[in-house]
Amino acid sequence: MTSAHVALSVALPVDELAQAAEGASARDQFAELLAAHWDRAYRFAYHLTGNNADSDDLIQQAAEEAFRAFHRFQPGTRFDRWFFRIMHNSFVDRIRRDRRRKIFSLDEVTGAAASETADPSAIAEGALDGPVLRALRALPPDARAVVALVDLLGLPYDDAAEILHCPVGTIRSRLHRARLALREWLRPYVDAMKRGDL
Amino acid sequence: MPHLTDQLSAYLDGTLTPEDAAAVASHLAECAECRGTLDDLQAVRNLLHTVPSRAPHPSLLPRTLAGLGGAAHRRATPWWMIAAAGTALGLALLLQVRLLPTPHPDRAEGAWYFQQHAVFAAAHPMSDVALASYLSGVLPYDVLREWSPSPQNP
Repeated sequence: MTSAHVALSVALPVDELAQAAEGASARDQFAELLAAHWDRAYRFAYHLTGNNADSDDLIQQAAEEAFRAFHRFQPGTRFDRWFFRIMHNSFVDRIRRDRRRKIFSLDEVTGAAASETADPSAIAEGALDGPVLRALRALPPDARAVVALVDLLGLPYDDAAEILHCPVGTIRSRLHRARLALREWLRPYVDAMKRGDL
Repeated sequence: MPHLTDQLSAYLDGTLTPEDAAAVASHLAECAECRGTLDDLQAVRNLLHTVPSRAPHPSLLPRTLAGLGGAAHRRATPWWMIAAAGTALGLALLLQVRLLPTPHPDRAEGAWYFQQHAVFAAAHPMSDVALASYLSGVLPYDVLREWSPSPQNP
């Protein structure tokens, strides 16, 4: 058993809300937990899908699936990690079903050069959002999921591995390759950021 | 000296063991290219941190929770209803099998069909209808036999 598998088998920290009041219905408990983690879950959905309409569909589908499986949720573990995992599984299923979506290979796009030039005022005006989000959307889904969890939601590698159901070493390598790809696509912005212009 | 790869991202995120982190730091002290890559990765991470949070529409959570109620209701009904429907269907099939007349043994033979068809087609303009009626169980075999070519029924 590798260290990554050992890490996966360790119970996650207790979710304070998982110890819901006794006597409350399962539906009420689920609703309370879902509401507590709703905003972060939506952010994850948004960064997976890249747009509001698909995020809405994905999080609603995940909520339905999680509710159906709620009897299997173990009190004492983190609800958000459990829900994120269900949502990511739903996302992967959607991608497999939807053949219209083109899935890029990270190797294929790593060398792509960004054609835009960085405008120092972009970040102040919120315009930096566009190029960064476009670059994120160009990542393959598995790399995008790691970047969303670690860089955008700030989760530790162990939790990302738990959610994405893979070893910690895979998280580390996917994250590194994704960052290198983003560096190439966002080169003008990266250079401006290093110079302190952004 | 080989350059560092994903250890750089892990170093940046502070997820290496102290021993591995010390080894990376030692390499960085001597390798300008890896220091440049580390700076790039830091800049990428900073860029990602500029992405603003996306807030869900305020009505999305209530709508989602309301939908869950429907899902629970759909799940709560079934077990006895499905069992009752299955039993009724089984009984219906059983009764139908028992009530239907046993097909004539000749019916199973393909050659018999063609033979009868040729005979009836020659003798009766409506023979196809009669045979189809018999085969579908509407017309008893005895009636069909009465219509067969014979001295009484040429």
